[in-house]
Amino acid sequence: MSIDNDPVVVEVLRRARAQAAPAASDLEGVLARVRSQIAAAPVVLHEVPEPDAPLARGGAGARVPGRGALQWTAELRRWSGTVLSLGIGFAIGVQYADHRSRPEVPLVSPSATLGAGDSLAMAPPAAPSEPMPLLEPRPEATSVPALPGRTSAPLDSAVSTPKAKRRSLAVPARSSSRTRATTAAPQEALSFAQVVERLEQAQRAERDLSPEVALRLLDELDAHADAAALRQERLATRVLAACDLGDVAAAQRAARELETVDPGSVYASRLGGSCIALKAADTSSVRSTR
Amino acid sequence: MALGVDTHQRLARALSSTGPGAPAPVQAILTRRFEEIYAEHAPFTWRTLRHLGIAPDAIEDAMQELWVVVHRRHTQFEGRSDLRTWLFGIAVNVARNHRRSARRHPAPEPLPLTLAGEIPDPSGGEERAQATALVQGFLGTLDEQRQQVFVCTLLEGWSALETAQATGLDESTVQNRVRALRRAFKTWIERHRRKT
Repeated sequence: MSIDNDPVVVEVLRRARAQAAPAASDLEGVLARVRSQIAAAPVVLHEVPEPDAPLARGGAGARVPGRGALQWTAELRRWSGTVLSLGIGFAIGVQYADHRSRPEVPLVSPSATLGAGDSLAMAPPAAPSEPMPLLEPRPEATSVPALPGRTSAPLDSAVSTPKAKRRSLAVPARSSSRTRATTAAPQEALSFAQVVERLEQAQRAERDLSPEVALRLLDELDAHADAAALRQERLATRVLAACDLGDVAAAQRAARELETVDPGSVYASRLGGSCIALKAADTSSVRSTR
Repeated sequence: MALGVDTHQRLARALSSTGPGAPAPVQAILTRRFEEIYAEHAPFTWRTLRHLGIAPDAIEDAMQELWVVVHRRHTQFEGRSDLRTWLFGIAVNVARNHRRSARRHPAPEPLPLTLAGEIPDPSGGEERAQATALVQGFLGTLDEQRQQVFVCTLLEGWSALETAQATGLDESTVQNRVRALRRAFKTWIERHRRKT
């Protein structure tokens, strides 16, 4: 059967439409309220049209602004938008420049940390049969020439010894506060602009109903990016992607983590309609019937 | 008798040339025109606001806000697009503003979906409430543009062309999205039914 005329879908939509229909008395009540508001604040017919701007906020008692107020608001909005754009552009530029200017130092400084019996070599390239990662690979560390008389072994194995692990932490710090803030992040972490770009890819995949791709991108992001960068957005996307996939347990895990990160997260309402909310509703109704 | 768009535009131009202190008969005709628009399209805007996530207790405020804007701007409507499309654009903005303010002042927790089932409703209200909850739940998982496509095509039965005009997408994109949305909505319904 064609998805266009699936009877279940058609019936659910019909019922939802019927439920949303207003009663005549409701419409009359609204018209009366509109009339009284119009009478209280006469119409100004020569205001500047703003077809795309969001409307003035306000509910029942909202005042219709006059022409002067509208021009003021438009001017203020234009300037604040420009200033905000410049600020964001500057911040991204600083992040990018910082990332570009980072010196490509070896993971382990040979002069400072090498000891007798240690071996240094680059990690071997990935086997051709391995699947291509969705993200670009992290930039390789500058190769360190093998010292005479030392055996050549992969860097991973060298770092895996406790002694070498201690040495790997001996990389000189670049700056004070920045380094402290990103200590938990993996080395050569993605810049903020890259994190934004990857997150957008994941969100696009989720919206295009490809939750597997979205989750894979998020996993890659978790592996490569600073844990704190856009944490809430990443978790919210993960919840939605897991819901799309029908993995309610994973969605709930991510939602709990999101709640831990920020109990009053702005994404809570967005997730209110997802599978975690349905699950919560199911369990609460089960509890109430007991 | 209903005023045509041309008449309406001529009146609007006449008003613009005379200023806010326009002759009373012209004002009266425009008021009549506004009330005609209201009578014809108010149910549609009500449904649209509900589908776009406005809660029942906030719907009257949202409707008032929407129709005050319509009253303020309907003299500028030039008839280049369908009136319904224009109203839909205003409804989207109003719903967005309400969502924003709801985020700042969060409402109490929503009632569970199955609560309605505890009280039998002979008029079929329970089924309609369940269907609404399903649709609202699904809409909550979509981004704003997909929500609009869903509301226009699947709930209001608009053509792909009308939906494209209302959402700013091109027609083929709308068609593709409608197909994907239908599939996803069917999956959503099945998943929910399995659970219950």
